[in-house]
Amino acid sequence: MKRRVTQVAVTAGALLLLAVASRVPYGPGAAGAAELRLSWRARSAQIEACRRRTAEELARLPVHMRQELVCERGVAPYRLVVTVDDDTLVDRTVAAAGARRDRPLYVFETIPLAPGTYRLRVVFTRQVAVAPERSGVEDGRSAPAHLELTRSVTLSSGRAVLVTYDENARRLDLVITH
Amino acid sequence: MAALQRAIGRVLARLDAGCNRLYGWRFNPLYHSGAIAAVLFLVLLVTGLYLLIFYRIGSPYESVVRISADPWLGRWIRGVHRYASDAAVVAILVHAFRLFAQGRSWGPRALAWMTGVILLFTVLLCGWTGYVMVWDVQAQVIAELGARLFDVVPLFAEPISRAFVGERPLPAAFFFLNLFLHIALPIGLGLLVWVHVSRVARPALVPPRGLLWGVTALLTALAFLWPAPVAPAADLLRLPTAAPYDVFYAFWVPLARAAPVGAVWALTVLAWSVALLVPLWSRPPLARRPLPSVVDARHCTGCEQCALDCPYDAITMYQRQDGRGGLVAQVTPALCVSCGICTASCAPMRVGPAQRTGRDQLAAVRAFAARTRPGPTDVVVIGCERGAAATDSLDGAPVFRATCAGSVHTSVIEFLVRSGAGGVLVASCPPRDCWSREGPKWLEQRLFHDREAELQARVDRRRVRVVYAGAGERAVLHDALTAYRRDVAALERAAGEGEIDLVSECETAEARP
Ligand code: HEM
Ligand code: SF4
Ligand code: SF4
Repeated sequence: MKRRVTQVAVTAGALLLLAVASRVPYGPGAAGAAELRLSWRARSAQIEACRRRTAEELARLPVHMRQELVCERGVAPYRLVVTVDDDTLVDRTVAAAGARRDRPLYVFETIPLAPGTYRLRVVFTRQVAVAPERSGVEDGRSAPAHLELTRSVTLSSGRAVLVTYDENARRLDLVITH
Repeated sequence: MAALQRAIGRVLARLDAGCNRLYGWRFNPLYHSGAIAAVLFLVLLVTGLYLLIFYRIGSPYESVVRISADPWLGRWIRGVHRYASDAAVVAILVHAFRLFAQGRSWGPRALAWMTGVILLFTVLLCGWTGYVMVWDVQAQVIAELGARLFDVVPLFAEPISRAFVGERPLPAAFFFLNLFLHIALPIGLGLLVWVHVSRVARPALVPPRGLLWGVTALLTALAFLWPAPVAPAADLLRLPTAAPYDVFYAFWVPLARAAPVGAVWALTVLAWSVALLVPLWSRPPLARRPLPSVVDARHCTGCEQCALDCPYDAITMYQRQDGRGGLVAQVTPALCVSCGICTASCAPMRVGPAQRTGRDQLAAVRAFAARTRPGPTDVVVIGCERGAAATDSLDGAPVFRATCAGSVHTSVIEFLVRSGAGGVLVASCPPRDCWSREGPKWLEQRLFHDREAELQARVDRRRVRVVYAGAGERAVLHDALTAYRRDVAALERAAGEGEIDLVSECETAEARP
């Protein structure tokens, strides 16, 4: 009898342990945290850097490859500056993505902040001026040379505020949910 | 490594002893952990198929909530699926630790070990995709962590993590891919299990019926009484709130969130490599490695018994090439774990690991009997070194030690009885706890069911008894020895009273005038 009771108790205990371990309460985001996120993809303008080869350089090349003008094509980088109140939290160059640096460029930043109201300024500026005669390259699909968002934002606890680029409106946007 | 094995072994021996007391060795779930894992895999397949009918990749969370709201089948089946997946992790870990502690992880068992590690990894991966399917807070956290981890692998032009910032809803393609993995991985698991047990003969993939239905019924009852929880829905623009997490599959989350991605990768790769390479770490030095079995081909009669009994399919029968016709046994050394089971299979004693053949055992037992001189009221113990009888003397009874009770040739037992011992108590590990897998099974059949090489009919079966006692069950062995001593003494008394000394009677009659 005693063995039966122990058997039932141990079995029930093991099952209980299994069920409890299957639902352990855990709060990953520290309570009272908030987050500022920047995330977008944008096409930049194509750029072409050309130069003329010197006479010596040309002489070193086989006859059939003696082309005077050499051009390197690429995608113009941007500079991203994020200022929260008076602190510059991000200031970096955003180059085109991809192993060959030929993909649209993207921004992806997550900045933990305490909940509260901040003056937020995000500036996204093209770094290389595209020559006017090549402005055809800067078609309607590429982002403007200068994007800026200046706002007062309130970050509530446990929430993320997202700055993103609206490709249709061609401007930076703020996404806040409450 | 050896110290770690011993430490885990001691813990397991205690747990085993406790479970044996409660459930009996036949139904001790710890002994059947591998088979239970296999059965839970089937339970997961059946319940998973049902859940699949109602799961929607277009509205994952809502569909799970709908399933859970169905009080008849949905909630219950989801619960069973959930708890079976948890129990599977427990069963696999017990199985793995048990084999590690027993040193059953190297040599010919390396394939089983390494595929086992891959199985565990795949099961955890399966759980990961399963939890992402629910798309609740836990799903969001593990999906984001997964993305963070994979972002260091330069697979895509952009980080995958960008999909989880809330810029746009997650595409259905994500849930489709996840669902695909959650279905494809179990198919892979099935194939892996097949490779996993490919080197063992007669793998025990199904536990005893009582245990099989018991485990299934208990998980079902648990699912009824305490259904699987539904956590708040994932919300990408919200930092994950507190929610219930499944320790079995999300144990790594707190560490992975706190540590830098590189450290998480380093630790993951290190931990899995260490586990995968256990066959290298755990094997004994060359000098102490037991030698594989060898067949004395000249005297092998070709009876095939050793090939039938070998628990690792390491023996093959070939046509004789020496012109005598018939078959001859041959051991494949790379498959032989040196368990010695074949030693006891061979009536003419022509097979076995070096120095552990039937002939070697006979020589050893002769010396043992000469040294201990057992009398008609004495019980001698033949004990497996890995079980409770790993000692030279037990409560005054001499112990003849063997590497496995199933490797003891029946002639050894007969010799002890004929040399005057009142009783021979064979102390074996419980059948599913056998290091050699099938030792106790074959032992019992050879002693009491005429399996080759059987204990001869002339041996009084009352003079032989088998007791199952694992390493942590010295008390069980002690009780069995006491009881058997009592029985042997009674046997001797009965023999003393009932037996007529014919010689002295005749002599007396002849001497009468
Ligand atoms: C889905 C998971 C697993 C299942 C279903 C499973 C099942 C089994 C089964 C049924 C056997 C044969 C047992 C017998 O008949 O004696 C076995 C053997 C074995 N398993 Fe597993 N196993 C799993 C995972 C693992 C893991 C994670 C490890 C270790 C890392 C492992 C290591 C081994 C070894 C070394 C053997 C050979 C034992 C011997 O030959 O003595 N298994 N497994
Ligand atoms: S010792 Fe004999 S029974 Fe054991 S694995 Fe080797 S050949 Fe098979
Ligand atoms: S049991 Fe002995 S006799 Fe029979 S096949 Fe094996 S080695 Fe040969």
